[in-house]
Amino acid sequence: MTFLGLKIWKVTGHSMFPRIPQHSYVLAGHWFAFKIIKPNQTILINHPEHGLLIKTVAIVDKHNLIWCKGENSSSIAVEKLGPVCKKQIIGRVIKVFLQPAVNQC
Amino acid sequence: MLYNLINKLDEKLCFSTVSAHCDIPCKIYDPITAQLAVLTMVRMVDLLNEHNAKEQLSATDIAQFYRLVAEKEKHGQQVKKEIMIIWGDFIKTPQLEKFPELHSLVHSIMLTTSSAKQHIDKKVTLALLNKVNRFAEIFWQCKGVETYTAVCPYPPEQAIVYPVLTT
Repeated sequence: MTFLGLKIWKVTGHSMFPRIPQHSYVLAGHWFAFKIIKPNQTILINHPEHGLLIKTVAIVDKHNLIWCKGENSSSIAVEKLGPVCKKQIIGRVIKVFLQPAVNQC
Repeated sequence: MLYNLINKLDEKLCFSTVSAHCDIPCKIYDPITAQLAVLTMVRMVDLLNEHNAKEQLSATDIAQFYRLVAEKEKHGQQVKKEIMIIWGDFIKTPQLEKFPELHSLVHSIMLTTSSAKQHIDKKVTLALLNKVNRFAEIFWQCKGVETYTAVCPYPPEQAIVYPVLTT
C-alpha cells in the first residue's frame, strides 16, 4: 500500500543488523523524492540476482553507480553485490520501526 | 508502540517484504561435488566416443549426442564453480602458506576444464580429474583429515580421493 509515494516494508534477513534487525518495519519513499543519493543512506534496491533488497549505500562512483553494503559481516560483499543504477532504486528509508523490548540477536 | 500498531496493520494489510540478504559463511565445503562433476565429464566423453564408433547416427543418436555434449558442458561449469567457492571462501593465508601450489593448481584446473569442455578428449578429462583429486587431497589435509584413493564403484570407474572419516 503506497500513500503519497511512501510505503511501509517489512524487513527479512539479518544483513542490516544491528541498525535494522529482522522483522523491523521501514518507511520508504520513492527515490525521486530524494534525488541525491549519498553514502550511509539506507535504500531499497531491485537487484537483478537477489531481488528486492534493503542495503546501505557504501559509495556512489564517478559514473553515478551506487555500491551497497550490509551492516555486518554476514552481509553479501559489496563487490559481490555489484553496482546498481538509480533506476534500480525502489526507495530510500526515511524511518525505521524497531521491534520493542526483544533480544535482537 | 508505533511498531505494535504497524504490526497490527501488517496482520490486516500484509505489507510487502524487503530482504536484508546475507551471505553467511556456512563452513560447509566439500570437494566431492567437483570430483563427481569431473567423473560425469569423463563418463560423457566415454559415451560420446561410443557414438564416434558408429558409422551412421540415427535421429535418436543425434539427440543423445546433443544431450551428452550439453551435460559435459554443464558439469564443466560446475567443476569451475565448486573449485572457485572453496578457493575463494575457504582457502586463506594459512592454507596458502602450507600449500603454495594452490593458486597455480586452481588456475590450472580452470584452464584444463575449459579444454575438457572444448574437446571430446578422454586424456584431457583424466588430467582434469588428477588435478581436482590433488585439490581434494590438499583440502582434506588443510582440515587435518587423512585421505585414501579408490576406484569409484560405478562408471567411469576412475580413481578418486576420498576422506577417511571416523565416527
